[in-house]
Amino acid sequence: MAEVKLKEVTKKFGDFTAVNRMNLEARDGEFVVLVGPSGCGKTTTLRMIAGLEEVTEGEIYIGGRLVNDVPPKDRDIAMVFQNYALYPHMDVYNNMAFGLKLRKVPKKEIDRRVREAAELLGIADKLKAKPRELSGGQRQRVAVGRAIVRNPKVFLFDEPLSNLDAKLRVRMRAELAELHQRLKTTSIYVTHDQVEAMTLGYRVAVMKDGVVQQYEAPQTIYDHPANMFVAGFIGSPPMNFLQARLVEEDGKLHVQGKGFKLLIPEDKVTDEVRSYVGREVVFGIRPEDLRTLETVTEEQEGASFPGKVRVREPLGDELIVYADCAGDEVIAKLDPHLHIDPGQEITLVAAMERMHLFDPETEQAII
Amino acid sequence: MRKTRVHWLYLAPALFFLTMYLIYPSIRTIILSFYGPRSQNFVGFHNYITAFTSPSMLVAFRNNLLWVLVFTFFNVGLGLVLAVLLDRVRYEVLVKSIVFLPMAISYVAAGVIWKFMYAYRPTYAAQIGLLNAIVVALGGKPIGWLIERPWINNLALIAVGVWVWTGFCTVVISAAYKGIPKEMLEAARIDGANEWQVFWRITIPYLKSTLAMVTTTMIVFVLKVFDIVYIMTNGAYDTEVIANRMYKEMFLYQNYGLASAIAVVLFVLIVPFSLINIRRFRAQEAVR
Repeated sequence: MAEVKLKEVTKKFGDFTAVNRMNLEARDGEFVVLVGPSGCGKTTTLRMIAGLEEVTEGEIYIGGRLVNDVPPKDRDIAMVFQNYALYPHMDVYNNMAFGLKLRKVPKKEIDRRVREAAELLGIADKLKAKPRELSGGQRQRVAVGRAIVRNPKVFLFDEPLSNLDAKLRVRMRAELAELHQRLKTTSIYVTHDQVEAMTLGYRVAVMKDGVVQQYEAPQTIYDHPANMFVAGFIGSPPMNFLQARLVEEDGKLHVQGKGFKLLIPEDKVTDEVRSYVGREVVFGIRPEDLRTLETVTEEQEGASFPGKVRVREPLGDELIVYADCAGDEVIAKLDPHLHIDPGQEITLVAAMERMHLFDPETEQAII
Repeated sequence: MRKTRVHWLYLAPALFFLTMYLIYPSIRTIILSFYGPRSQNFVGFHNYITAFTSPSMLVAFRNNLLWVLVFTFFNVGLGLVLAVLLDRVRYEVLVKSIVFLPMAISYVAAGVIWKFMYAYRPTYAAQIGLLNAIVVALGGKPIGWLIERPWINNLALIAVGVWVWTGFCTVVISAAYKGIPKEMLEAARIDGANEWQVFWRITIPYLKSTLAMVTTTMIVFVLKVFDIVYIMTNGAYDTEVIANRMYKEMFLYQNYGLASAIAVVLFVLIVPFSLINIRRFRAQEAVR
């Protein structure tokens, strides 16, 4: 086991910078998730850690050793690929044993480790099967098995679940989490799926355009997104952003937009926030932090604003409402048992203690 | 049922041409092979005995075997090496085009070109052949490329065949090589394989069916080798091959019986390889 450290790592493909001065540290035994939209550089980062891509600038350390010029086979890592990358001409047993055979591990030991891994992954009865005879989920298990029999310092996962159907994905996700709890091997996991990122990662690095936007525990990222990109990327449906202006009345700060004027809670007001008085800001509120007036028990002065329902999406456990608020679209996640029809006028109440405020130019969070 | 009768109607044109141009000539050839030079008197297996015992035919058999082994080995081997190496360079398309270019030339032209390349003059004369010019320039004695038997001249002829066909093998194997998922090779590298191990333990097994197809195709082709030998030596100095022998018996000596017998022998030699190819093709279709 080992920690992984990236120091000012840059990767360029010709003129295109895929990864820009990236710093990242995965502690020993930590499960780190790189998440971001396609083309954000997350897979390139993983491939550089694996040694499949050369580092243009910067340094990568695995277990304290600088590995920039170490070929993949000598980095003591294992990687699970999106399309499994199994060897089609070998049966399951040999797919898993291949790496051990190359390392001249004694036959008995190979046999013990392969059977143990197969048992752990529930594919013990498939050892003689060729990859083409297996289902997607089984193939993914073989790919994971191939990684764990080697007992490497680091596991690298490149979107391992995205080829599976939705149901299986949820199940494999839980299995991977369980596996990590058992093996405690440092893992770096790349995905574009925020649910995978949130559920699996001890820490999550949200990436965009080759730059890490925020690298923190999932809950911190959700509660305190560093900028508008992170705020919009994590959370589903995404956070509402409304153009507004910060105004001061009777010593109290308000965000005032086209159809709303909301009071900022006292404890949120810092000197930095105060410096924005009279300036444009972006008000952010998550759909799940909106309620309708009927469901709010206590008086919420300065927290409500009107809207007109355009579309309603009942999902069973929740009701997504797309409302028109003075020309802006606001998405709210509401109680599914409410009777709300398209065209209806409603009053939305924001949980102002969970509001966000961003600088419209830098897009960085102010609150 | 009506259906069964209708399908014969659809099949009729194909069956007609197949019979006229393939089945009838084959049967006729087999029959002729049991008759004398003028196809008048039945001679039993006499032609076959000649085909398997005459010195010129024995030389032809030996040379065909040499062609099968050397020509096939170098074509498939070079094709594979080029396909794998060219995949890693930027000017791949250009090199592939150059390697493939000889395919576009007729064998007659290829033969003529290489006759010049191999041209031989006695030591005192200026060498007009490129190869001997190089040999002499390096201080060696000119070599009779197409004369020195039995190895140099036969291998020189085979080299021309390889020159023509390597491009084909390269292109076919390259197409299959490009179909290898790159992630699989990367997985092997991470698993601890060096490039040599990746090649032998992952790439080659993955290309197995393509290599087998190219190999059998080359064998079928090379068993019938004719043009290159006919143009360049016409079988002189022990460079005879079966197909050229058949041509001579037929059109030079007008011995229809012996020519037919040789044709049948050649046919029998080729059938197993064609069957392998057909079976493999069917198996691949079944997988799809």
